[in-house]
Amino acid sequence: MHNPLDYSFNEIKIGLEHYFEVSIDEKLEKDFAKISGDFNPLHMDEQYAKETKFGKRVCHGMLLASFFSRLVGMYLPGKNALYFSQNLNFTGPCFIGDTVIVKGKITGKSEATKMIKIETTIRNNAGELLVDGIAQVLVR
Amino acid sequence: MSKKLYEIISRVMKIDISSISDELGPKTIENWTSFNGYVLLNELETGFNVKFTIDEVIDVKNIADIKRHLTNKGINLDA
Repeated sequence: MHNPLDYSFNEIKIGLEHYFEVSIDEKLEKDFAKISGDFNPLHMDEQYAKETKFGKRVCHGMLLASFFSRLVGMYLPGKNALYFSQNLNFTGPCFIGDTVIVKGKITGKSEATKMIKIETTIRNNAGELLVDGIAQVLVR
Repeated sequence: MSKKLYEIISRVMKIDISSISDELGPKTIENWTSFNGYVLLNELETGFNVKFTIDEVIDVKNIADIKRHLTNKGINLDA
């Protein structure tokens, strides 16, 4: 999907949700390391990661968080989005080969600023919460 | 009334101070766009040295709500 949804402020209702799935593969992980410059061995070195409590390479937390950009810019609200703030809690590891579900739910609307509050979550296919946070987005 | 509050609203929304009342808000002030709403929020935070939470911002439907939140933060609007 390359055409963003196009919600206006008035069309957005409390409780509105959107979600999508992403498969975390080797290419995504490598591409994110290049873009961010984060080549920490926990993410990149299988041997090193084996000796940690995780037992294998852990996906960059900020790679997961970057999918909130897609959530906001393409779905909630889509075209009219201006990202304002996002807080993040990393609550569980994600591994290469996992499929994650990125979800947003509208929990507040400000008439005064045309700002919306979005509860953002990422879960793995077992339903475990990996990342959550609150986004504030201006609807232009 | 709060002179300082009304001066800020008047300046940001480009309306006459005498026309400001508690009932006015984003639906009744023509210049209250999303951008001006955000500018107003910033001007209020700077002018009164307070910070609004997202839930307080969401709660604002009119000038009376702004006054209530400022008062709750210890601002004396009659001063």
